[in-house]
Amino acid sequence: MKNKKAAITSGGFVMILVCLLLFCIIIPDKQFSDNENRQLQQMPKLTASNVASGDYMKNFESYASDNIIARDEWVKVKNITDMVSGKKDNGSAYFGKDGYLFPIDNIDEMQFQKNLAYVKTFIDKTDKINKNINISVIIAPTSEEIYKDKMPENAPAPNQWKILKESRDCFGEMLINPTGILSQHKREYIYYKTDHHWTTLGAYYTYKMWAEQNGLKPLKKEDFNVEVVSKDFYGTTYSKAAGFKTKPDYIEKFTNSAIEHTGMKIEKVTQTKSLPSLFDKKYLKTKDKYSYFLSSNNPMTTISGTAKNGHNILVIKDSYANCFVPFITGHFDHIYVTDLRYYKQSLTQFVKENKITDIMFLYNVVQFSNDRNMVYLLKD
Amino acid sequence: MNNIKAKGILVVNVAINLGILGFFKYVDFMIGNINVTFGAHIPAMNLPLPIGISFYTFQVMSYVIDLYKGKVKVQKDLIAFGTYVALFPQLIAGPIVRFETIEEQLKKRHVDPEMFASGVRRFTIGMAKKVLLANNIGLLWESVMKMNPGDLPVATAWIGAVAFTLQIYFDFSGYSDMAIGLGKMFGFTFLENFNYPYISKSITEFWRRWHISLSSWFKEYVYIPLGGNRHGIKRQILNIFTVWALTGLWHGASWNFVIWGIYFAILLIIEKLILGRILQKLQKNFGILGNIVSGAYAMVLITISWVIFAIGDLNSVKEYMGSLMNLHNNGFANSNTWYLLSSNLTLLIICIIGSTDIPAKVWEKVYSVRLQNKPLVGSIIEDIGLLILFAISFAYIVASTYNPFLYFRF
Repeated sequence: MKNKKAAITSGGFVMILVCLLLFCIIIPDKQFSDNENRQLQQMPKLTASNVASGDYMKNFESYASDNIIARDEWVKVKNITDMVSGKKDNGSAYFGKDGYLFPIDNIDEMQFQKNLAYVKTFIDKTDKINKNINISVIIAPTSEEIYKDKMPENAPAPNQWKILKESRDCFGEMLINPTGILSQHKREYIYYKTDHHWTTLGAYYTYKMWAEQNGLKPLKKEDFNVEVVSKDFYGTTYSKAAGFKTKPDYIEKFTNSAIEHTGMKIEKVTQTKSLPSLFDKKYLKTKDKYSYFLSSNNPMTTISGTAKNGHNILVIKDSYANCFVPFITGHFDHIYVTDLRYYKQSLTQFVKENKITDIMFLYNVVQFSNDRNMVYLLKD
Repeated sequence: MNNIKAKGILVVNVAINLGILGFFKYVDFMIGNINVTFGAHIPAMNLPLPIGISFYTFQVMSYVIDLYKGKVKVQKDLIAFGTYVALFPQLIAGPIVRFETIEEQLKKRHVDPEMFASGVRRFTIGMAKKVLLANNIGLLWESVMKMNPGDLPVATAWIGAVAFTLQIYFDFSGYSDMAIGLGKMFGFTFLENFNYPYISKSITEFWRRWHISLSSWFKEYVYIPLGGNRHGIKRQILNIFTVWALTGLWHGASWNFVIWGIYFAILLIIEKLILGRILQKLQKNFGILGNIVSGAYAMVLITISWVIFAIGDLNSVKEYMGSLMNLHNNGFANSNTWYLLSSNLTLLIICIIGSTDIPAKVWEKVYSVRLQNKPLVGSIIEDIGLLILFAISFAYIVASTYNPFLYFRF
C-alpha cells in the first residue's frame, strides 16, 4: 500500500517533467509573441565561441522560457493567482474596477523639465521664422487621471495635474489641457479599458476644444458617420495583465465624406508608401489594432487636407494623435505628422521649407514627460 | 603519519581553501578598505564570484579538519569525494553538508519509491516557498526600497522590514528544502537546515533554528578551537565576537554584514549574561503571555537585524532605522502604506502563518487523526495539493520571463 502511494507520487512527478520536455520539443517554436510584441529567442547555435563567451547558455535559457509549452496560458495562471490573492497590481498594471486596467507609469521629473525647455526653444525658433505661426500644445491626461475612481483604492499614481500646471506656466495660452472636458464626458467611452490610448471619441472632444480655442468651427459629432471597426480589441495593458476578467474593447472610426476620401503618404526610413485611406485595415487582423489609425507611428506622414485655405500644419506627436488627426483634415491644406522617436532631421528646416502656418504638439502626459527624443527639436 | 606532518597538511589545506574564498569573494572589499584608509586608488578587480564557492570551500575544510581530528576516515574513492564536494542539489545555496553526515551514503545508497516520493514532496514545497512566497513578498520589500529610506512613515518602514524578514526566510529555507528534496531523490539524507526560526523565544534559540548547518560549522571549526567557553568569560565573549563577525562576513563582503554579525554577538552575550534567565522565568511564570512577550522580543530584534542585512549602504541603514523609530517624523502611515498593506495582506498572512509550525501541525493532525483509516485519500489530497503548488510555481517561473515590450508603441 505504502509503496503504491509512493509510486504514484514519484511516477507522476517524473511523468510531468518528461511530458513537459517532450511537448516543448515536439511543438514547433514560435518566432514572435503577439502579446509581448517582441521577437522570441530562437534555438541558439552550438559553437565553441558561443559556449566560451557564455552566450550559448544564456540564450538557451531564454529560448527554453520563451518557447515553453502554452506560455501565454501560464502567464494567465500567474495573473489570475495574483488577482485571487488580493493583489491590486502585478507590477506592470493596476487591476481596476469595472473591467478597467491601468498601466503603472512613472513620471521622469527631470526629463519633463528638459522636454519643457526643448519645446519652448523650438517654439521660439519657429517664431523667428514666421511671426504669425499659430502654435498649440495639447497634453492629454491618461485614463488613470480621468478614471481615478476606477483605480484600486490608495493606488499611487503620478500627479498629472502638477505636470499640466507646470506646462501651463511654461506655455501659457498655447497649452490645451483637455482634462476638464474629458472628465465631463467620463461616463462616455473616451478611454479604452484594456489599452493605454484614448478612444476616437476622447480624441474628438479634445479636437473640439482645440478648434474652439483656435477660432475654428469644429465639426459636430452628428456630422460624423461612426462605425465600429473592431469588437475584440485587447490592448497593451491587457498584454501586461493577461487573464484579467474584462470584456474586449471596441474600436470606432469617425468619418465624413472628406475623411473617407483622404489618403496619406508615409515616409519611413527606408521607403515611402502611399495609402488611399487614413486607416490601415490590415492592423485590425493583428493584436496591435490601435495601429489601424494612421498605420501606426511613422517618421513623417503627409496628408492632403481639403481646406484650400493656405494653412499647413505640422503635428509633432505620440500615438495619441493617431486617432485625432483625421478630425483636422478639413481645416488645412497640408498636414504633416511627425513622430520624434523616428524622425531625426531638423524640424526648423522643415517648417521653413514647407510653409508651415500652424504647429501642434499632441502628447499624453506620461509620454510628454518621459520621451527622450524631444532633444531632436533642437536640431538646426 | 606523524603529527607535525599531519598538522602541516591541514594548515596548507585550510589556507588554500580560505585563500580561494578570500581571493574571489573578498579581494574587492579589501581593496576598497585599503583605498579608504590610505587614500590609495587601487582599481577594483570585479571578479565574477564562482557559483557556490562559500559552500564548497567550507565543505572541503570540514572534511580535512574532521580527518585530522580522526572523526572521519580517508575517502580514497575520487568519484565519491568529488560527489561530496560538487553535489549539485546543495552546491548553490546550502545546506553546508559535513562529510560525516554522508560518509556512509557516498559508498552505499539506497533509493526506493518511498524516499523518492518524499524527495518530490519536499522539493515541490521548497520551490513553492521560493517562487510563490519569497519572490512575491520580495516585491513588497522592493517597492518599499524604491522610496527614500529617510522619508518612510513608521508603518511603511515596518511593513518593508517584515516583508524582507519573510522573504529571506522563505528564500533560504526554500532553497534548503529543494536541496534536501533533490538529495532524497538521489538517496542522500542531508540534515535539516531550518527549524521554524521565527517561533523562537530568544536570539539564542533563533540561532539554533536558523541556517543550522552554518552556525554549527562555525561552532565546530571556529568557536570551539578558539577555546569556546573553557577559558573564562572574558575569553568567551571575545570568541563570540570573533565567530559572529566572521559569520557576518561569510554572508557577503561588505561592512553591513560584519555589523549584522556583531549585532547578534552583542545580543547573544546579553542573553548569556542576564536576559536569558529573565526570559526563561517569564515563560515559566506567565505561561502563554510570557511566551508571547519573549517571542515578540526576539522577532522585533530579528526583524531589525534583517534591515542591516538587506541594505548595503550604512547611511541608508541609519536612515531606515530612523524611519522605523519615527525619528524623522514622517507620520504613522500615508495612502501608499494602506495600498501596500491592502494589496499584500493575504500574502503577508500566508507568509506569517507559513513561517511557523502551525501548517505542519495542522496537517499532521488531519493526516493522523481524520484520515487515519483512509491513507489513500490523504495521499491523494496531498498529491493534488502539491500538483497545484507545482503548477502555480511553474506559471510564476514562466511569467517571470514574460516581458511585454510595448513602450515604443506609445
